[in-house]
Amino acid sequence: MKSVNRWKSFDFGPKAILDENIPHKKLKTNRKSLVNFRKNNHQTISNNITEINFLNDIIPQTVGDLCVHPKKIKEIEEWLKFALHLTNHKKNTQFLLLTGPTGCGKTATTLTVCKSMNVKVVEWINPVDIDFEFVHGSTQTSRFLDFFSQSKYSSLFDSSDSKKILLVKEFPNIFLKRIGEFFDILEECYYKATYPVIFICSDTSSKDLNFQRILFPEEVQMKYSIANINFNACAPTLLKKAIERAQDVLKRDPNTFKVPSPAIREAVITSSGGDIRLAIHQFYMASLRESADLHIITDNKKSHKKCLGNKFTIKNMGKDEKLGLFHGLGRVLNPKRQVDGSSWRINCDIEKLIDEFNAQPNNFSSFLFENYLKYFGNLLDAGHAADVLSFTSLLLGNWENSDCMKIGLWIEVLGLMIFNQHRESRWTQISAPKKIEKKCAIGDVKYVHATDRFYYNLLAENKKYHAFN
Amino acid sequence: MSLLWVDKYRPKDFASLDYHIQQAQELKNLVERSDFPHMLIYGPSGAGKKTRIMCILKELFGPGVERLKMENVTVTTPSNKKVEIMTVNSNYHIEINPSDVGIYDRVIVMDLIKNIAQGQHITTTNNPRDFKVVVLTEADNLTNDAQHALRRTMEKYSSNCRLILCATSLSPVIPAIQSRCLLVRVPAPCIKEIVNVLQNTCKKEDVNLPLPFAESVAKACNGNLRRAILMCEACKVENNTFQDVSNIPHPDWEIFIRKVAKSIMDQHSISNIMKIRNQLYELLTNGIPAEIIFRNIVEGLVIRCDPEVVPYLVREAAIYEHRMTQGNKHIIHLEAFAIKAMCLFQKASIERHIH
Repeated sequence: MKSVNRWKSFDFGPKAILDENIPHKKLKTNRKSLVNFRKNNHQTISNNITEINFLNDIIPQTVGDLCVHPKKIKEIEEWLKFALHLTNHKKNTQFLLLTGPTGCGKTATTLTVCKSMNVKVVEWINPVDIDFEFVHGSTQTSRFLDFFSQSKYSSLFDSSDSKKILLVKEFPNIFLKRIGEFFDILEECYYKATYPVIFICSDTSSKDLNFQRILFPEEVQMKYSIANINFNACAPTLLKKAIERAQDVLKRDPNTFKVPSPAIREAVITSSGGDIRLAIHQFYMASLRESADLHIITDNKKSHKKCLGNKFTIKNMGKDEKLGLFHGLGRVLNPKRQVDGSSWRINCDIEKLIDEFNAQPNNFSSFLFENYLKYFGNLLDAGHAADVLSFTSLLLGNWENSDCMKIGLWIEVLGLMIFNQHRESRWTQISAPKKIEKKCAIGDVKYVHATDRFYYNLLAENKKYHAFN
Repeated sequence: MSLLWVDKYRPKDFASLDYHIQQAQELKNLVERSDFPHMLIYGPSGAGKKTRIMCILKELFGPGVERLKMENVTVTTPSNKKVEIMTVNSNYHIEINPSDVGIYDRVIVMDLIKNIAQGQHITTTNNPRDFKVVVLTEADNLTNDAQHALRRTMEKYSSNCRLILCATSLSPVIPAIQSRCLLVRVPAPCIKEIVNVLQNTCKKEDVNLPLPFAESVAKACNGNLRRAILMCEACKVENNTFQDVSNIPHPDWEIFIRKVAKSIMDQHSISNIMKIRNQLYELLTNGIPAEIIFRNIVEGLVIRCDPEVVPYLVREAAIYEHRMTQGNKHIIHLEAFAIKAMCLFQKASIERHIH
């Protein structure tokens, strides 16, 4: 896993080339010399090479190139038409909020659709000269406002009647601390009627960075009539289409790239988890590596074998692994041990395991409570486990404090795994947590306390209320 | 069905209350002022909390509060689930039990109070008050979310909406709410007072109630006056003469809990825990408060078990009962205690075999 992390962090375009051509020595050469080197190298082999810039060429050019569900594209097109139309009539500013997981094509769709409709996109980028701000000069907030009012940003080359939209992907950090300022700006823009604005927010698992939740709560969306289009992760069929397109691009340079086997394609699609950017990058690497010499293959043999062997396995080249709920429950309730002489330890990286849980701590915990008993073979063990559950349920009750909940989950998972010393290993069905819904007798004329219902039954000589026996 | 004695002879105003006379007078004085605070009335069940609330309402608004109508209110949660709750309301007040809807109580609390508070109430000659009262019963069963939501609502709409909360125990109510309310404790009546009420009731019904029988009912009801009257009437229905003291009917859930306690003592196995879990679920879904379940289980165990185990048992009980009052998921703590108790009994029986 560690080595793969390192791989990802590199700007791997040049790195891959480097691997291919100079396997051992010149690891630290800069890009320019590399390219030169490569050019010379190729010239010796053949003279008619087409240089491709993969990352540029892969950018979707037409709407047809997008690998987003056609309905979503249509939704955006329609919104744009609608918004531009309204802007011409000097109505209020139109806002659109795009949400969805990372790499599902939110930005790409926006840009491509705008291009096809001949709309100019102006994007806000956070200023980098933060130091300057402390001493003198305008603050991020005021610049952000300027961006909307467009006084400083109109280009000389634009004809005055060209259509234009504003795109905000980065939000000035200051808004996380002073949310009110953001609302003030929205308020100001809303009535000024400038160009339509598109906000793009990626889904995050972290509560504190969830812009959608912090900056666009429901009442704000209502107040400024912000349209919201939510993207889903890319479907495998669409990813396949995108990869085929990438293949076409890569074919133009057959010296560097080769066609990976269908199995690898399959693996790339499954491992990307619907993230198209990731899929394309992985595919790029896979194409490179196939043509490279042996030592790179041995280097990544494990990951390759895994993805070839079983296309459903998520290999470790992909995103952070996310465990499904049932998978996670299985890991916790069926702990694997590593016995070392007289001592033992749990054969599992707890930290990794907990990071991989996808579910809400509270939800996960209620599933654990509902099911843990079936996996325990000894009363004393179960007693310890129940004690842990009872204790952690208090920690998990602190919903204001996410750290507290995380610690609670930690204790719970560890406790259940360690105390399960006499594991029951027969197959059992996982059941969903029971929802306690109080039964209220229908047509009660008066409120009858549950503890008195017995007497009401007795005195009225009927069975209106539940009778225990 | 004719009215039960409990409902028939429930005092309607402060003057007709039978006990806590001093407190009644204080409450009356409070109501006479134009400024009326939020209130949190707490005390054991059957002590007369609800009776006092109705007295307060009557004193505030006059006899109009007695014209009650039932209404089902539907509220949509953020996740688009429709939640239905039954309300009892008059022109001047509304009574809900938010814990009926479990985890959705927050939505109910916020929506209903908002709806009520947003309307302006016009003072007329009949109604000198410009606010409406919301009565929340079982306030101690509100989830934490709901209590925090309530805190905000209480401040925001305090101009035209007053809350009267009713709780059996104060400890699950968050301090923020406690500090916003006037706390009024209604203690359970003593045996003498219960006997007195029972005899008065029977006199009104033209039934002769012997004093020893009244006393044994008063003892059996555990300070719960409502139950005492119900027991009394049940006895009358069963054998009419009030002679046989041993024949006082106990509620079925109490017997049910005793059975649970017995099975905790007798069978120490995982499969039995699963059975007990289902029984606990049955009790909880039928609205028996968790602390009453807990207490009855502990009592059932302590009465029957080996005296040597008792201290350990009570120790565990204290731990889990404390946790239970702090948390919202009662079943976890109940079950944990059941397992711990089983472990203790198992250990004790093994030791007995060795000696």
